[in-house]
Amino acid sequence: MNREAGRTSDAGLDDAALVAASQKGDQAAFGEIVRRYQRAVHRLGWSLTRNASDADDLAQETFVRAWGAIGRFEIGSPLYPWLARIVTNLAFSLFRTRRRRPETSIEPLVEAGHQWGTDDDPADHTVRDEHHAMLRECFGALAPEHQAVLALRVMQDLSYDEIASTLNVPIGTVMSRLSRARADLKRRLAERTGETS
Amino acid sequence: MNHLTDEQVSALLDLVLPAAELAACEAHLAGCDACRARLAQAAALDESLEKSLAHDPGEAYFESFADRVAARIAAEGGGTRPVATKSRTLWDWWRSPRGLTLAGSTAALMLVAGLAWVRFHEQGGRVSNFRGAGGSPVGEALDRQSAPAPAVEQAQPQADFAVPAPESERVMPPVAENATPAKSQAAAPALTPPSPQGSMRMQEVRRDAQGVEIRAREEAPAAGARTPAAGSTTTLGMMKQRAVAPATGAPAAGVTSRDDSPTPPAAAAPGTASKRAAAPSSNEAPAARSLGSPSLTEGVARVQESQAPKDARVSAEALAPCGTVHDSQGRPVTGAQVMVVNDITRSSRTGPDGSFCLPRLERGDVLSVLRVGYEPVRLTVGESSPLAVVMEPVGTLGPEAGKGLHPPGSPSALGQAVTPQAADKALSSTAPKASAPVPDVYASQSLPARNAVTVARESARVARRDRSADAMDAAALRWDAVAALVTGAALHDARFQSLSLRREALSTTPTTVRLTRFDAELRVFLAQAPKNSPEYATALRWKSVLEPGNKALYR
Repeated sequence: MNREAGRTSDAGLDDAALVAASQKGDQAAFGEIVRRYQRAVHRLGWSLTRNASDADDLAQETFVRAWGAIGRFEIGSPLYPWLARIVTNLAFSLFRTRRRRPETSIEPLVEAGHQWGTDDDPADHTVRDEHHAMLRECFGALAPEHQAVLALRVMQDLSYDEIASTLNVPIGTVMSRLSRARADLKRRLAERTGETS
Repeated sequence: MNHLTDEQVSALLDLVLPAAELAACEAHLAGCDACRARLAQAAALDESLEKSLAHDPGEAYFESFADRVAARIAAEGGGTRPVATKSRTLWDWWRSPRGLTLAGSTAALMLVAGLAWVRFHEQGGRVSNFRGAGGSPVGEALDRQSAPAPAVEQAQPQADFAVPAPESERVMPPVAENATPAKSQAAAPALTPPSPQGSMRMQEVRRDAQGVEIRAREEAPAAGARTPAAGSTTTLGMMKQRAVAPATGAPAAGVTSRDDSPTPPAAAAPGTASKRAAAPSSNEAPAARSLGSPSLTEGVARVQESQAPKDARVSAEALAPCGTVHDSQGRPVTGAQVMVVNDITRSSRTGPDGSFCLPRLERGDVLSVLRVGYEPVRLTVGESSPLAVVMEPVGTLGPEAGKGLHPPGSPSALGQAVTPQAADKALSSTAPKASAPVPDVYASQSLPARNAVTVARESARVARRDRSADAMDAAALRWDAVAALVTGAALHDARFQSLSLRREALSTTPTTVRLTRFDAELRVFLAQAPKNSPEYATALRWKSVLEPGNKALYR
């Protein structure tokens, strides 16, 4: 699906080797880790904040924290769930700090506009954007842990095991949270659109 | 099969259902359009969400991203290589947020548990006191022992064994109002229920060896206390006004009540002012004494003024309706138990000046006033009546009562069964004389002796609080140990303390052994004590109860 390409090394070095080199202070190796996971990390950050500025801060902070903590990383463990855990923890911290839902930014619309094809019908885009904006709002109204589990599953296509590792919860909790998150999202969307669920 | 649950639909989407459950769900889906629609709707929602949350800032953003991260790491001093560590130590874990959180939570939990324990302990002591006071006859006997009786009674020979007469029920008469300047009327406390917080404060009653209540919280001297004009009225409205008025001034020496609310001095009952003025309580402030007998209003105001700057909660307690208990001759009745019938949480005990305060008192409440040597009084709180209770004394045993019942020096009847009722009946009539705080006769004794006194006093206090006969016996032994270390007046006092505790133990749980021991100790005390001492007179009265004629009571 949207698995980050190159999760395993395409350049001859796998994640474990990069981590081992990073633990020895090899900044180039860590730079390779950054380049390898920057898109996935940024995407997760944007999913949780839906704000380009916050997503950028989150992504950068994630790698800064990862560099500071990579000495404690156990070589051989999957790297991305560890990075995703940093992202979600930072996002939760951001939620708690702001005590408000992430701001709705016009940047996604502007940026989405750049992706429009020249042969697309602007009217279709308008309807589609309204639906996506509504869905984003409903998603943003979910509980933070529900947002995280949905983002990790739907956007990152992580397995239940990986999600459990990322969020440091049992697999059963992942299953129940996903179920409740989907049901809650469906209910909120139905309330917004006036449909009966 | 029932329709699929949300969890099953969600798990079907992610293909994480166990094989058996998956087969069952698929079988259900094959025949259920609704569940197929739900599943399709959920899949569409996932897909739509993925698109909604998709975001690509562009290649340019990612081309420089790693450099920006490197720059930040360098800027934050993280340019040095991270050192790999084998594992986190316990110290690392404790320093982590999770460890600190756990440590903090544990500390907070222990603090709360400690406070709860202290609170429970205080309440437990209070309930224990109350149960003993108003419950069993033996408990009442203890109260009667502990509560000092008026000195006049003790001098009068009485033949009555103090079987309580039926309680009389009456509505309390209002205290007469006298002419009082409006200045003092403007700030009098009212019959207003105190705050729940204040009313729930409970504190055990501590007593010294003579049974006199001692303050759990010492008030400062009343040298600077603002004393209102004598003769203030005690109307409820004025009391309320005074209670809410901001007060200043130094604390006044007050009296304690069971709920730790400061008890004001006695109200001026009709015709009693001159008598009380002639014999003011030793605890009254000099300033108050100089103005003669203080009224209830004065007392309440004085206490409020003294407490208000300290603690708002204490000030709220001072709002509790207060009153006084006097005998028919106008003398304050000390140590009387005042309680709201059928409500064990509201009770109080009169102070040296006969005053008391009760929390959350309301009109219509039925009060029961008990005091050994007096007829029990039951009354209903009236509409506008300040609480002025008059108790009628009943006959009590005096020193002469036992004369004629037995020849002096006749052998005592030992080894016989003793019933609690009999012990209660007999001993209740021999309450020790009310006495002012005893000067410290141990001050000139040696340090080990003073230390032993401290231990013995605490032991006695705990024993009386717990109403434990065994503990009283143990406390008596501690006083015996003190007696071995001291001389002179201190020796006399230590022996009397020991004797008092043995007597209380006998009253609490009468046994033949205790009776034997008390009888023996009593004889020794009478042989050695100064004949002109009040303790000797008290012991003499105790002895009269134990003479052969009265010992039949124990059978």
